[in-house]
Amino acid sequence: MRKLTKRSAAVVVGSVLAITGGTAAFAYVQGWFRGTSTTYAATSTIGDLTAVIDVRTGSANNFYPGKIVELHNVTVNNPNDYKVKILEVTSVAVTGGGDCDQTKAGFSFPELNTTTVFNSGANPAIDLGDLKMSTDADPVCAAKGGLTVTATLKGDIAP
Amino acid sequence: MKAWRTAVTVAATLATAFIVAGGQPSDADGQTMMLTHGGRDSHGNVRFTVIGQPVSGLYPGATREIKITVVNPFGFPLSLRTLDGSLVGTNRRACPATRSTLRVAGYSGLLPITIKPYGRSTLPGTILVTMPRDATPHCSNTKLQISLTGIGGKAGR
Repeated sequence: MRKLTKRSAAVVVGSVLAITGGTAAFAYVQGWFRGTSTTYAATSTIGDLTAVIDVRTGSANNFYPGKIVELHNVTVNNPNDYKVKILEVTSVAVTGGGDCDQTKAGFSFPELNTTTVFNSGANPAIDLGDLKMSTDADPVCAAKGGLTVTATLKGDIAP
Repeated sequence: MKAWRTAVTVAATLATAFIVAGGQPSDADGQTMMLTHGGRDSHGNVRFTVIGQPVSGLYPGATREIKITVVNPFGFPLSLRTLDGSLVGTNRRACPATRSTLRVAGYSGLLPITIKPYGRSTLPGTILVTMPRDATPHCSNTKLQISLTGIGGKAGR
């Protein structure tokens, strides 16, 4: 019984020392205060690039249904503050052709330059790829020398 | 049994003495104000308020400054000793919360800074966040969560 009492006393004293140690630490720390919060940093949404193709000039002035033209010297505008690459064409608009709009002309890009890195702002003299007039383009689009094709291009940040 | 009772009594006395001593403030008035006006976190620690202004428009290579406001809920001057930020999360799985996505620098101003009792102060320095040039493109249009932590004490302590 005496041996058990000593062991119990040792356990109790050990516990007390642990408690007092922790308490002393708390007493030391309690003069310090903590302030925490969370805030956010949002990354940019990539703005669409635009390419304006004037089909009146160069080799692109004689479109007819199904014709494919390689696009050279196209100016691509990157509205972002950073470099991007083109992923895909999201929309095409045709202007300057009177009744001939995109629904009637059906322009598409069977080939698209997805490797060039575009700087912020205007990027001149770009080989953009191939532009094709639909095989079933409306005859109203025939003999339209003043068509302007504007392509909206989805981009991705270039590393 | 007598030894047992003695040990328990001594232990209880010691524990009581230390707990009372630990709970007593070195400055009774300051401690009272702290307990009355300070908030407490989930661990029961008294805390003050740090507010970080959100930033936007980050892209690879870009740097933004997070402005910090500290609110002192105590009735004594608070001396802000340290202030740090760290990236803790994103809302896009493909854009991990790592240093390759965003680097969060330490507070750029001089410390310590004293905030008046019950005062609110926008700090002269900022915390810079920089998106590395080689950050993954998957991080576009992403919300990055930054944790801010400040440590302070009673001014003049």
